[in-house]
Amino acid sequence: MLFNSYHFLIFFPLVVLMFYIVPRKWRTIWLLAASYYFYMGWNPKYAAIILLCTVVTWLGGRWMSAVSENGRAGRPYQKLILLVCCAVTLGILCFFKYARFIWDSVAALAGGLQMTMGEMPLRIVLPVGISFYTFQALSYVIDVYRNRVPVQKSFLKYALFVSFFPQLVAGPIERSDHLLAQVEQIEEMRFQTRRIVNGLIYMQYGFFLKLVLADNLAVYVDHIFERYFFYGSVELFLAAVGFAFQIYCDFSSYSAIAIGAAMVMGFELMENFHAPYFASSIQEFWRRWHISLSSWFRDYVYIPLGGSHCSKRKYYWNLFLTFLVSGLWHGANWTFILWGAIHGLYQIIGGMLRPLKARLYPWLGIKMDSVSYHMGQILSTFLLTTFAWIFFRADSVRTAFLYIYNLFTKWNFWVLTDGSLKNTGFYNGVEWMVVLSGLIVLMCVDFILHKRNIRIDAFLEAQGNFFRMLVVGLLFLSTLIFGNYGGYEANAFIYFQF
Amino acid sequence: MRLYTFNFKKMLKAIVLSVLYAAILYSILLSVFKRTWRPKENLYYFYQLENNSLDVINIGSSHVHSSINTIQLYQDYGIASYNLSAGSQPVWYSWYYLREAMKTQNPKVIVLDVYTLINPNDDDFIEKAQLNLLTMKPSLNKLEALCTSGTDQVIRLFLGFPKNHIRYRELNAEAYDDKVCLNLMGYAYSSEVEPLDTAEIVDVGAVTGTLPITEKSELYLRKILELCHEKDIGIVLVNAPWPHISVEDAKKYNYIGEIAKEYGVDFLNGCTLEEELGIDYTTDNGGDYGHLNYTGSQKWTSCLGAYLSGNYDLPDRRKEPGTVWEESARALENRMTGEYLQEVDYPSEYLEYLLNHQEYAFALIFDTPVPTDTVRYMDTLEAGLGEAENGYLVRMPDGNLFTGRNFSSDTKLYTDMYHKISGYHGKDEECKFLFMQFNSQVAEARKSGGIFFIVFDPFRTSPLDMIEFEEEKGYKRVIE
Repeated sequence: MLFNSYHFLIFFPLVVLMFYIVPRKWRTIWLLAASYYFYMGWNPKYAAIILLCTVVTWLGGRWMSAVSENGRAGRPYQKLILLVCCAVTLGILCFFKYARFIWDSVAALAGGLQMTMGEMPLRIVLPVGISFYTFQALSYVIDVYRNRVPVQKSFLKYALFVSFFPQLVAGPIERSDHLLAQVEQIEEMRFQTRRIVNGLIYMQYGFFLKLVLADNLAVYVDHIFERYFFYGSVELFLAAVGFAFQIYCDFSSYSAIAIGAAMVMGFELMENFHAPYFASSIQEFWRRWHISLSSWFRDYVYIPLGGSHCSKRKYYWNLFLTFLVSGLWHGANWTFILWGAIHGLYQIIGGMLRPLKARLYPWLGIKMDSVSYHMGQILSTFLLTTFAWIFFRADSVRTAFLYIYNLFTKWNFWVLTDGSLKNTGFYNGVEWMVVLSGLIVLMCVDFILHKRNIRIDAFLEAQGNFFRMLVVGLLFLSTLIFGNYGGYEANAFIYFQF
Repeated sequence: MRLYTFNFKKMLKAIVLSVLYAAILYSILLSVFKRTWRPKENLYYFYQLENNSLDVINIGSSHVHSSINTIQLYQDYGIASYNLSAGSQPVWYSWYYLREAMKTQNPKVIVLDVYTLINPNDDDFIEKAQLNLLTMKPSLNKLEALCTSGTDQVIRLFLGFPKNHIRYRELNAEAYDDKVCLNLMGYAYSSEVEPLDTAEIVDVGAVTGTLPITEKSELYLRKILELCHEKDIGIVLVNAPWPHISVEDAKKYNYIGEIAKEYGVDFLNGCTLEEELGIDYTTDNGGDYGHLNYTGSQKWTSCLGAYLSGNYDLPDRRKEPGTVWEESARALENRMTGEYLQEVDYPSEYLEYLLNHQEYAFALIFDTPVPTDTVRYMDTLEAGLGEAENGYLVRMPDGNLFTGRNFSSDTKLYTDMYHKISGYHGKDEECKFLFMQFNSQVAEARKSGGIFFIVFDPFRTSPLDMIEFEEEKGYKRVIE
């Protein structure tokens, strides 16, 4: 079930209403049933996979807890249990997500060696959200092993933690010390008008980002990327920038709706995006982009590898490997791996150049504490991430390289003035105005978040009812009028494919 | 611990404010998604008709609105009728259209065109749900129609705005031209001629035997016949002439004819009356796979009009002045005039036509020596512009004339002309349209060095015609 579907518009109010009406001790069961119903809306068989993952990790946690009573002697057994849980969970993930990719890659290699492998015998369908809930379940079992969180004795509460529907299929990837701790308190959750209104406002903002911005940008971006060979630098550049905003709006809209929906029921989910395009370095970008995933990789991959507490060479290697894995997590395609590698290289090169910049810039008269320098940093970070997004969006590595080649060689600045840009991809020039206006709104909201660290729902609450109603009304009307919906099937969120 | 805390006053204030807020949002939405944003199908205009003003309602597919000239029915027979039709309409949609019509109208006769009943595949019409049902107002009737259609877009089509909201992309001035008469009472006027090779046309006049239609088609046909009988409404089945009919199709129409006989209902099969009607597909075919054009529709409408007036006691509405049919007749004439003017190639001929048709307001702007024969026509208006280097002449429908001459720039000319038009206190409704049509498009369309005409359209927001004749081009039309 997609958030931007009529089904959800009926499902959600019903779930919330029943959540507050049913006896408190039934809340866990009700929400668990609703979450599974939500998930099975894609394919009922998916329920078996998430259930398996839940059972394995819950049992793993219980078993580790039982074994821990033996003190240090039980530690090797705990490690074994952890390895089994990881193997099973990651095995499920790898099977569904990477089996075909591995087969196709090997087949391509074999083809290069004049051997044939044929089609993969199994037809595997990637269950929606598998990358998210497997990581969420893994984080629990790892944290139990590390004694960071107490083991969850209630299977139902743990199952709800893994399958909580607002964040089930595209995050944020929650931690047990945050979300599971709240599930423990589910019976104490209160009906609070203020919190519910703020939650609904944040959901409305999410729908605005998705329907008005992401889905309208997709029209132009898809058109150019599918026919990149016909277009020159200007269109290709605009499409790359368009995709940078499309994926941001698409992904952050899902998080906004998820966070808002959870707020309505009294849950607090972690923030997943913090004005990423205001980052002044790639390092900072990854502290603001998909925060739940980057923190997951930091805590469960980068730090266990040694983090930065090692030699420079090892540190760079850890960084690079972490981003490589992050790229692989995003998709079973070499383009994603390359995208991850590019970000890893950005960080390495950025780290290497930092001392040089610190000496060179003052010598050149560049004031590193000036506003213009800071804006330059933001712009260059944005351009670097946009360049990397080309690999993320392209359907193959070859396409990505050809796209970039055309971007840098097929100069055609005249399209900015001869009017041909107006109708490229879009139905007519009106969509440009809609998208540009929407981007201005997005940048304003992000600027407030960046400067004052305050989210739109909280900001509007502080402005008083009149202004809040005006803004919400405008968001609502804009979504209804300019949103890209109704003509075809509800556009799926990009990150669902992960 | 109490989980819920209620402050009654606060709750009441929140409810009142919420209701007020919702009402404001709803009004804004209503004004945005108002009528003009909806596709202008015949059903759209039907809702604007006065209640109980129709004596005959013609229902069916595009064969209805291309072949039945409701204005001619009014002018020749005084019959107040409307084409409540939509493209590719299967008979089950016709059933729901009939029920929709009966909410606000009390017709004496229903004319049901049975063209689509011969289609062997009911599923072909699923995708036509949008074309037929989107414009219908949300109601139980609409919901039933959508559920019957087989479409998977029931909610979107029922609400309408999920489909309509995207029209913001294509809105223009004409989208806000909302007058009922522009719809020509559902008649789709076409002067196109697509001559057909008559050798390809099968003569089905002598075809006997029957072939059944689909169960669903027969079911809904019978429902319509029974409903009309129940409500004591006359009904006639018709099949407007169309050229690509086969022998198999003819047998299905025979089957329909048998059903009609069961109910004592007449069936006028135009495909068997072509010779009698004088239908000639070399001149009467409008193209688009078998739609009659204006001349063809005149013949079919005459036949239908004669049948209706001869078999039913219908009031003569010509005795009631100021009806929407009269206005529609003017609108049709307007459209035909626009087509005629676009064929005119010389300024004197153009001006002569306008002078002979007082009902059209027009402006003539020139900044070139005007040909003598054209000056002669201008002199008949006693405008005194013959010697001028540049100038303009505006004639209002009531004959009032405004002129100006020898301006030092186009801007001064336009300013002078606009001030005079805006100072005109003639028929307010037409003034409104003149102001709207004298816009930047005029300035952009007009090139210098010619004789420029703009003919105002009393019904729309865009001019009926704009044309510039340039001396260098031998006073030929230079803008289309």
